[in-house]
Amino acid sequence: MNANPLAGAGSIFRREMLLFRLKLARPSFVLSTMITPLMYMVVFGLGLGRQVRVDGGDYLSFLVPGLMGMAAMHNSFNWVASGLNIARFYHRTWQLVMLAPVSPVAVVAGNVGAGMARGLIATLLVGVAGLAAGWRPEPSVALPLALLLETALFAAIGMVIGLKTRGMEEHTTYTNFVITPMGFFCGTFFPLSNLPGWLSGPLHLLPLTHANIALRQPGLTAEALWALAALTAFAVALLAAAVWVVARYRE
Amino acid sequence: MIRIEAATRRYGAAVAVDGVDLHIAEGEAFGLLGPNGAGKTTLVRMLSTLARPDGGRLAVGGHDTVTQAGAVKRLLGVVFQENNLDRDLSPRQNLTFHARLHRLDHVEKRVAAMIGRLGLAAKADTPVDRLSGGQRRRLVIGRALMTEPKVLLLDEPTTGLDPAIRRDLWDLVRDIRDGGCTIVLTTHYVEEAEALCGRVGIINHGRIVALGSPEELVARHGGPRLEDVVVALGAGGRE
Repeated sequence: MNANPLAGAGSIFRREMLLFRLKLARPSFVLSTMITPLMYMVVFGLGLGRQVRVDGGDYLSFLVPGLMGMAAMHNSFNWVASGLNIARFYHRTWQLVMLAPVSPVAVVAGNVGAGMARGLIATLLVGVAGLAAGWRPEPSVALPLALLLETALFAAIGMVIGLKTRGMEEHTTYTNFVITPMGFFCGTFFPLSNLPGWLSGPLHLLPLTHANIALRQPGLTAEALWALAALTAFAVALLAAAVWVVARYRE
Repeated sequence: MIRIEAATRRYGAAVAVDGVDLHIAEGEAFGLLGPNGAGKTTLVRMLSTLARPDGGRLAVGGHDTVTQAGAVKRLLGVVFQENNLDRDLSPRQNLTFHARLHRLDHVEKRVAAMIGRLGLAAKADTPVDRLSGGQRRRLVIGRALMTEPKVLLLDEPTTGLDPAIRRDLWDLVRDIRDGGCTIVLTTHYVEEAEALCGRVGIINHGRIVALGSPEELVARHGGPRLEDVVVALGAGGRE
């Protein structure tokens, strides 16, 4: 192997982004990526949300950061996990990466980096839609930091799941039983303080909860710092897990 | 160049490769012949480092495929049965990615030269999806040659291609062989092994059941053609 553990990461990243750029050029693809968060925004934000106030503020201001967190999670996870599934079982291009003399760290860095970029682009589109709907956020450094950490950790989960599953069916199972419930229960649509303690406590063990907390902070408050610290811990552990899975990958 | 000792690989209760011993010299073109499910592909996957043996040892260029996988990867070019290409990308983009992944120098020049060698200049920037089966296969083989490998593993390189394209690919493989590259070719086309390989191993139920040059095997088994020997041994016989 090359002495630089990141050697080769750039070429993996560039290839993934090239494939992404080709997909972005298709309007149907962009629409299908955006349709779910836009529906939530219209139904919950502009429809039901007009009757609701959260912590003294309007519901749209509460909802849009949550939808951005959800879009970041879904896109960074799905792009990496389903991309790996397709590369392993359909196009078989994953073999090329595994047969190249590049380190597991480089493989993870390239794929996670691309997953982050895709997640952040989707999140940006949701944010722009939120602004168009009337969301007026206070500028906060906690928001971009939380999104960076969130996309990194969910892209890392995508790598682990993408390499451990034995086909698209299993991938769908993880999406249905792990990722989608997180989107609904981790504070995207309502504050966790609305839930009984026996339910809200365990939900703090999930990373999206901390992302949603940090995304709604007006700056680097104590609450934001705790949430960012939790996200950092999740990201480090999950990136290490992804490197471990790549290093042990065999067919 | 390649040394396989008592290599075994199981998938659950099934034994795909069963104690194979095999030595392949540098510059040799070696053919593995056998029916579907005989263990050819599993042996290639173990040599490529993608699959680990459950028992025994495989080495390429003196490097163990498990403990020194990085060194083995640097010696190998691998062509699997499937055309494992990025279908939305062009031949130029596919080759460029491969060259960069292997950190080759003068990438653009190398890619242009390979496209010329493969006769794909007119399709260099066309998405792979729009290439013919033969063109895709040439591209997959050409991609494996980008790193100038010392050993080329070809797993059923012409399966599913029509005879004219198959013969065209044989010429490409002959070129590679004549350049001094060690070749391991798996196939179930007897004439392919005869045309390209100086030595052939017949594999069945995960075991090498016969080994020698095509002429030696025919003489030893009294069959008028190598195909008769393969049919006889592939049906369960053993030397």
